[in-house]
Amino acid sequence: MDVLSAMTQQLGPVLAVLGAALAVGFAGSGSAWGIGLANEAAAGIMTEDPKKFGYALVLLALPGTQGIYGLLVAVLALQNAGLLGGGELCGLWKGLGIGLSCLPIAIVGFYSAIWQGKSSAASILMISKRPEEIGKAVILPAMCETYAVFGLLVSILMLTGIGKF
Amino acid sequence: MALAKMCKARAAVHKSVLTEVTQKLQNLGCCQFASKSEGIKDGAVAQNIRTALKLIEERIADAKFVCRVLEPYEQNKAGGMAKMLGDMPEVSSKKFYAATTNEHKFANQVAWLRKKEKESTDLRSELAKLKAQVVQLSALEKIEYPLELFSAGTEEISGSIYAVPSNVSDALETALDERFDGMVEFKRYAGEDKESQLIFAVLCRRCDLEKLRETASEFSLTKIEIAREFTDTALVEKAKLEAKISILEKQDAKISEELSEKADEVLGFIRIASDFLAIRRDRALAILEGEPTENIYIWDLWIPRDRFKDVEAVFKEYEDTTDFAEIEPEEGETVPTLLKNPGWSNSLEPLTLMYGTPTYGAVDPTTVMAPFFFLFLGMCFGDAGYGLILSALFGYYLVRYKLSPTLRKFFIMLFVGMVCTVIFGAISGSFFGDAITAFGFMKPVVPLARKLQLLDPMNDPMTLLTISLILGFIQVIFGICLAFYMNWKNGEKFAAIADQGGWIIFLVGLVMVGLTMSGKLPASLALVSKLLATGGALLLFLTQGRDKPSIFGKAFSGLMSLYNVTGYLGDVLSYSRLLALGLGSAAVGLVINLLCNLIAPTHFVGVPLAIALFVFGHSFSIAVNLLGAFIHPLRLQYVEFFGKFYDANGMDFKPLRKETQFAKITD
Repeated sequence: MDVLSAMTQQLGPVLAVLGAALAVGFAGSGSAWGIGLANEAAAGIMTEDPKKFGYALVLLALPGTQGIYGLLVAVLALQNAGLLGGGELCGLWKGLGIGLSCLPIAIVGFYSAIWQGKSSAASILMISKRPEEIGKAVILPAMCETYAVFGLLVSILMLTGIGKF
Repeated sequence: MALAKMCKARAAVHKSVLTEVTQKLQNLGCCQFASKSEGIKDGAVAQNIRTALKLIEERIADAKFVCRVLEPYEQNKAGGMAKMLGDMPEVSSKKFYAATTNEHKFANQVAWLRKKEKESTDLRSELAKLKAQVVQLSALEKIEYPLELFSAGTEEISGSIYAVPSNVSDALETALDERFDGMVEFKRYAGEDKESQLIFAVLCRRCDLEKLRETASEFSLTKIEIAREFTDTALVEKAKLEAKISILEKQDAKISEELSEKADEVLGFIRIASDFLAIRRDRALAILEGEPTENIYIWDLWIPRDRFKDVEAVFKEYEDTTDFAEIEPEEGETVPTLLKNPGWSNSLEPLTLMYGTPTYGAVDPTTVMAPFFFLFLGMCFGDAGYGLILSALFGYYLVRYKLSPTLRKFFIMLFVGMVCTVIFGAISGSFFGDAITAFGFMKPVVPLARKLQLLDPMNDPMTLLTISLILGFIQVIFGICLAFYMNWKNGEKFAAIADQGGWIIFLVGLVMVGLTMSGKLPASLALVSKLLATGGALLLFLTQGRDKPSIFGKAFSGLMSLYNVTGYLGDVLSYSRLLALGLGSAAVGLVINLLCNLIAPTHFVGVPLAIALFVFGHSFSIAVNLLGAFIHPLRLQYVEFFGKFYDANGMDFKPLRKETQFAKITD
């Protein structure tokens, strides 16, 4: 019985850690993937015109936000579970809740970053011909990011909700 | 709403005053030249203008050439930042014309530069050739025979140099010994790439040359060709070449020096001249827009109503040789659009134009979106510390540099947005994340910050979420109201009431039903709200299928149109990003502060490291969040707000004016 209660005590933080790992891991991988896709296009247009570096950099940085959102949720999750900055360690159910709260940003972050990367790559090709349209080129990939923002929102809402019990 | 009123005029100008009149119109900068007919317009007057235009364009090409060649040599480059921000030196118009009418000087300078450029190109191609030869000779420098033996040979002796793969070298030696009966001399040298290739210098009798060729092709050897001009050994020849190269390089350096010396002066002159030429080109192009006859030019001019008097005055001066009268725009003609917004909101004009130019006579969304945009920017960035830093930065740029008009608007917009950020950050208690509460030494300011704080999104996100959605609902309904106004103004009153009115009543009713049911509104309003919702729905049901021919089609379309409510729901929910991005900035700040607090207690290095992390981390956070905080509010305007009412099929008003690239002309 002692073993079981010890396990349930420790399982909570472990689940929270799992959630944090997924949030950083998946959202970060998605960002890296998306930026990589955009990089290919950026390097391509820079062989023609190296002066486009500034514009290309702004566009290829766009899919990077998902990774930051993932990091953000992970830190909040660890803090909520009492693993960062002191505080009481969470129990089993709270830990499970924290772990699950990380999933929205982990999943949406991953896919939206990849597709945003593809949109960025397309936008980069667009500014190679029409640099004056940089404004429009920045808006298009941001459409994909909308859903990462929603994922982040729900993850944060869930974490704050769980923090209260 | 916020579009300048335009009027159209027809003007006829005699060729004797053509230049003077158009010059004055260009100085005014408020006339767009147009004409009725398309295609090439012929007339005696046009010929002269076309010839002049061709000449101007040639000179512009010359000026571009000068800039391209001399820019790398420029000594006093205008500060990179200033140039980037569009800060241009000022030149008085008197000096401008004095400097630029000097045709002789212009031609001289171009000719001088062409000569220098040709010299430099010739030198460089010669240098490249010599350097390639040096590389070839370097591979052969170990060969002690004079090279002429291998190129021209003597009466009796000739030879060749071969690159030989090392695996066949022994076989080759044996073959040479056997086939030439000792009447051959050869030496092997290590090649450049020592492992795989050797160099063979082979000398034989001239009569055996054919035999040597056969042997070489049998072993698939590559012959190294020697130019006839090399007579001495490779080493000596190489030294000769290097001496030549150094002389040429000195000559090249001298040309570069000459160019550097004169670059600033010439560029200064040529740039102003190219601005002048561009102004003349624009004028010629504008003139050619018109309808030429034997002696006069006729144009249609688009003029903003409030500048009409100025234009009229110009034509009054030349009453004898011109004719000018206002005319009515034709039915269905596209009138050019000029945005005209009050000072506080016109910084957003570039954003409106980025989406599209408003149709003349329709709504200009700039001013109506301005309060929303600034508020949303503030909410998304949402940190008083970041806002303070950036408003100081943008403020500095606005004061320090004379920015180009578009950039100036952009910076003003960011500045106002940052002020909103400071206010919103103070309200939500975010100052570099949670720096005020995170660090012990900030304790004294905590009570002050608490006094300002009205919201606590980190612990109570629901309140701010509600506020975001309410703002979203207000903007969406406002957008529909604008569409209502447009329809009403255009006389389509039924469409206004049916399409927009129906939705406004229905959506407001639905929200009120929701609020009364959840007890947020008094129950006494329950009946009113239900009536509103049902009434709105009924109105939509009855009117939305009105284009369909059959009664069944009408009913079906009417019913299906109610499903659009999901679209409006999605639009409103989209505004939840205001909370998410605001929380995002605050949380990134919080994470940085947390990490700072974690490393600060380390002995000795802790505090400096924490400070470095604080500075670096928050700078990063500013960069990342600012981009998001700008793009997302803009998207809300473009997609959720503009989509409801904005008709962006207008044509930009492009008046003939003095547009310059390098210098600002003052009067």
